[in-house]
Amino acid sequence: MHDTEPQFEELPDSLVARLKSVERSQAILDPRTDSAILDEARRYFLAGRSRRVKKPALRWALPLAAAAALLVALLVVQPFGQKRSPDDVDGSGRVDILDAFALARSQADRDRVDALAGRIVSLSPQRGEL
Amino acid sequence: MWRDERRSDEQLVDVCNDGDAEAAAEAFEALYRRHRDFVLRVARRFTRDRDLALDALQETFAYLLQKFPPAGPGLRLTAKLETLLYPVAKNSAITALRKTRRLAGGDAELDEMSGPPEVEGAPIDAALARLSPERREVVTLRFVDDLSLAEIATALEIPLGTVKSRLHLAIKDLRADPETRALFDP
Repeated sequence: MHDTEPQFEELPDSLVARLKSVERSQAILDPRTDSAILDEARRYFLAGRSRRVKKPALRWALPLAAAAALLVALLVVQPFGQKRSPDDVDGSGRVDILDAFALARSQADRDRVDALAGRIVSLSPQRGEL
Repeated sequence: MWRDERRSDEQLVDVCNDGDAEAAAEAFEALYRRHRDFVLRVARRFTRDRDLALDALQETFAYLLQKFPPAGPGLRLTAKLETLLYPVAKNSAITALRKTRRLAGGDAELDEMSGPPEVEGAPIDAALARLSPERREVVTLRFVDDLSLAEIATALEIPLGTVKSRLHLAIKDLRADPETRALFDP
């Protein structure tokens, strides 16, 4: 019971047991008092502090934002190291007739437009990809 | 609903200090469930009355509650929580008892009020009742509430040497008391 202290002031076990049994046999149980104290505590803390932050929405916000950013990067940004063709006028990632139209709209040299159109026609039949 | 027995008093007190409202309320409930019986025992010891003991219980935990924010600055445990609760429970019990005594037209001294539980036909309790209140208090804290000598000194705000002296004299009295003498030398 009191292992760390000197034993010179101990009572006989039978006497200690008797003392404890007398005091502890008189336990008072009163649910109404429990409720009153705990309700008061709850009111006290709720009145002066923030409620628990609802975290589920926040928990998904970061992954969703990351996924959206990744999707945008895949659709818009070209992979590093891939060299863009000078004929890819509209920046779509491939050379096709739209590049010729874009070049024509930019009022470029007529010869250059014809040359590009010629190259596009001579490309592979799979939609002119390089 | 109270469910956490694993956290230490220090951890629960920290949550009461800094946690959000619901976590703090849960931690306070855990502290209450853990120490309720101790406080009730102390209050009953000084009042010998169920209702007054329950009043003292409410007062004691209301006091503890006010230690935490927003009203209080926060609590830092430097000793067992019982050493903080004991004097509060004792004083709450005595105050409650004095109120009823005044209402009844009397104002007896504390020494006459406090005493061991009255159990008919219990010679050991009679021997305990013959101890001085100070010696009885130390014996009860030591052997019923299982506080160490240092914790008793903290709870009573007296020097450790005084606790040892009172305990020594109390045991000496019990050794000499005809009701308990035989228990020391079976």
